Amino acid sequence: MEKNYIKYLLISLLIVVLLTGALNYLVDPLLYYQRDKRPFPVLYTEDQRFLIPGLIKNSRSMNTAIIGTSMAGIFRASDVSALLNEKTVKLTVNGATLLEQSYILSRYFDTHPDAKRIIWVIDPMYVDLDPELFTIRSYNYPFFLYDHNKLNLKYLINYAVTTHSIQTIINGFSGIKFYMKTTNLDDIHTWPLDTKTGCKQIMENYNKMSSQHFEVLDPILVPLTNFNELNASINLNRISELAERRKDIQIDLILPPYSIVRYLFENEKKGLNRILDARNALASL
Amino acid sequence: MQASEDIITDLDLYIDMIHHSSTVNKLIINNVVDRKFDNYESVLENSGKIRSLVNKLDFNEVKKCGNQLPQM
Repeated sequence: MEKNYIKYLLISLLIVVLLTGALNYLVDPLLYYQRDKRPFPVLYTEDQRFLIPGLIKNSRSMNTAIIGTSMAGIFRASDVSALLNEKTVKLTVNGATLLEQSYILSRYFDTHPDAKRIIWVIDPMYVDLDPELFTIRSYNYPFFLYDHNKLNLKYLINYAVTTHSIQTIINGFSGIKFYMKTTNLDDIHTWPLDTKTGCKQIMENYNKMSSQHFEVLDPILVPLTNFNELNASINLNRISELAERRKDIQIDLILPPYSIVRYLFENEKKGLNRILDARNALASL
Repeated sequence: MQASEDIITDLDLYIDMIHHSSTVNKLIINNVVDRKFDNYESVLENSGKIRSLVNKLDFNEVKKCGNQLPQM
């Protein structure tokens, strides 16, 4: 009797696992597989680290990429496409170190032999960080999404992926929206057009940033005051190596626009020299 | 590789001191296309201008959101 119970339990578990795998394979919510057609509209996640691996695999026709941190995340790929007259994919990641950005760009190079142009927005704050630091926040990085193994059990039998699959199906049938997810890729990580502007708004943000909360939020960046030349040299070498690897691609390095308030703020907390040195180091590449 | 940048001191263009404004970033992308800021010397020069401006400004006055900041 007990043997039968265990047998049925194991068979039931196996069926659940197989059905889960089949569901995730069919819906493929994170675009792990390269496909032209999908059973449901893609529900893009705002979590860039889970979104980008699939975007890279499914953007073979996109010959231009935007790389960078959240400072570049505000770009709309459609705006860049219109300006450059090229098909553009946005591969920016909030808080990505230059190591993570280089990793992403390298994967893009691997899968895009026809790539023509890279818009790389380099935040001076990140130039001299520890070169082995992959993200500025602790994170269980989803490297498995960059695999090409068709039977990727980490993807197929995954709670978060299954949840996303179910949400994709519900959205496909009913149009119900889910938090931090959208069917419009162009909206990902951009700001609403009705966002308030002006000095008052800036100063409200300044007060938030100068509070202790900011130091807790960004414990790696905030205390830094001295520019680390050795770290910067290793980080910037990675950029040069990538440029050497694909000489057929035009790489535009952009320093994002910091406001004068930002510089004043950095000066107040003794971090201005570090940022200016980082800009200059980048300029000497 | 080419380096591009713009320095904008007009507070009204900024919605967040740490982050971004779609207006500004669209402008930056336009500059990349137009090649208005495409040499490394301009970055070095602008670093000097930033330092000079920071030294000139009283942050407490800036916080009061009075006059528009001087252009470089």
